[in-house]
Amino acid sequence: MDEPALIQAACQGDLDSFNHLVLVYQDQVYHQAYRMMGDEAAAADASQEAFISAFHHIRSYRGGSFRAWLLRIVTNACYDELRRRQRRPTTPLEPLDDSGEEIESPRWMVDPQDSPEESLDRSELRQAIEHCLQHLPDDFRAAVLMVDIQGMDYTEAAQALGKPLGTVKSRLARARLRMRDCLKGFWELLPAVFRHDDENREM
Amino acid sequence: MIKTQLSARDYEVLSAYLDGQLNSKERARLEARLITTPALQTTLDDLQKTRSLLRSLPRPRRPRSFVLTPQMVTTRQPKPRPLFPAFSLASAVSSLLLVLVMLGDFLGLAPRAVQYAMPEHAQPVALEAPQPEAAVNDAGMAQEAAVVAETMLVTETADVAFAQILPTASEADNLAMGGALPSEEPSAKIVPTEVINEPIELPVEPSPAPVDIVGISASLPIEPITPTIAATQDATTSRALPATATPTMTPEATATPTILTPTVAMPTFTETAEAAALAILLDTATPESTATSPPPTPTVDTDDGEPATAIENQPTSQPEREGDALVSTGRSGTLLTIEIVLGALAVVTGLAAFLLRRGSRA
Repeated sequence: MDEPALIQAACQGDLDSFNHLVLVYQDQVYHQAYRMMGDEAAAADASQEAFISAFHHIRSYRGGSFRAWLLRIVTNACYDELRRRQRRPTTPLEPLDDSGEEIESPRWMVDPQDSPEESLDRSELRQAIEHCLQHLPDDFRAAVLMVDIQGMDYTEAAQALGKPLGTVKSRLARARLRMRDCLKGFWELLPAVFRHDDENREM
Repeated sequence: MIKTQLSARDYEVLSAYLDGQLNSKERARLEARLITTPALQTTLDDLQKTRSLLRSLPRPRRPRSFVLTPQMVTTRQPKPRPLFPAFSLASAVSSLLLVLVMLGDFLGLAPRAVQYAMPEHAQPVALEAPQPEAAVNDAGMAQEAAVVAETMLVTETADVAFAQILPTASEADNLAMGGALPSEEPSAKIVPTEVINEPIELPVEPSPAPVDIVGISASLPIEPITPTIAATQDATTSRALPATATPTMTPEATATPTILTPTVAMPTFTETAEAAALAILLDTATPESTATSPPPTPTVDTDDGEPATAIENQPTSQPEREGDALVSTGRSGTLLTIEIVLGALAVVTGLAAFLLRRGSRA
């Protein structure tokens, strides 16, 4: 069954058809949620909630990219959860130094209990990127995720974000700029990767 | 001149350029600028690196499947609507009603309440005075004995009283005209003698609130009649009248206990008394209302023309309102009851809404 047929069947309340769509998109949906929330449990909750909501509201899907429609639902679920967290702030993840400033280094994040494999897996560079991503404003993060993580073009991203194209462009540019400024704080981790990029550019 | 500072627009163009989202014309223009503007080229390089880093992020392992089970999609039962909105609304409505009633009371009905409630303060004193006749005289103002008072007042007691008062009234007026100045002293001294008799019967306890009320009336020199009453040593009226007169005589503090006794000795009329006290306290800001409150002293009720000049506009309207007395105080009492009920309702519902909200959050 192709996607429109599955969607059509799901509109009639066919759960199996909808689950076919779930199987197709659950990785992307979870990835989006994971990058939005920054932790597994919250991402899983948001993803599950998004699929349930999508099934109940599938009649409101009006064509276009079904992926964008799904990602919009999960992103909104993440916004809700993030807003709820803001209302009830928890202890910040970053430890404070003596002057009360957050320690802006990824080194503290390395768990000494991690196995060598995990340490390799969770490389410092990756942690640095994730750290900077989590510190973007939610709207900026959503925009940069749609384009750079999900690989959408601007039109599809605009649909997924429910924003005009100009807004998406602007948010994306500002998000990348902030990411650049944040990553410069971890400059010592970057040269190898950046060199690689530079070489690519030379070619 | 080379522009080193890039604009937000420049960043957008660079970002779109990386994604291949520029049309050919825009791309050509940017590429031309990149050659001449090193800052632009540096930024483009940085953004390119950043973009690559973001794209290098691995896809996380999905912890479980999100395939939906029939249980997940069975229409969830709507949560029982919390009572919070209902209580919240009830609280708001009762608060609004309270404000409206108080406003109406304050603007329209407060003067009457004050006017007729004041004599009531005095009434119990009169009632406790030995002569029932005197009590009746006082009750002329009081709503309870309004009917009796109408007949009695006009006929005998009042006639006698004012027949005797009038001659002395001029003297008393002289005293009173002197205002609340030294001339008041003698009259004030007369009253205490009367007053002293009564406090023996009534437990006098000084309390700050009534003194305040007295202070208010004391500040206004509107008591020309009362001195007259005090001055008349009429056998029948004198005992009763001082009681009613006392509130007005109190200005100079010697009489303060007497005004206290009425309020203390008012168990039966607590409601109206409270209304009066409330009204007085509320009306302290407006001089007229306090000015009108004392006049209802017994002498005013009798169709005495003399005090009319002294008490501005009140006496003329007074007899007409005689009949209303019952109604108005009854109304003020009802109003007070409504206010109390509404206030309590607002507090209770507000509290319930607050607790419900907290409960639902927890």
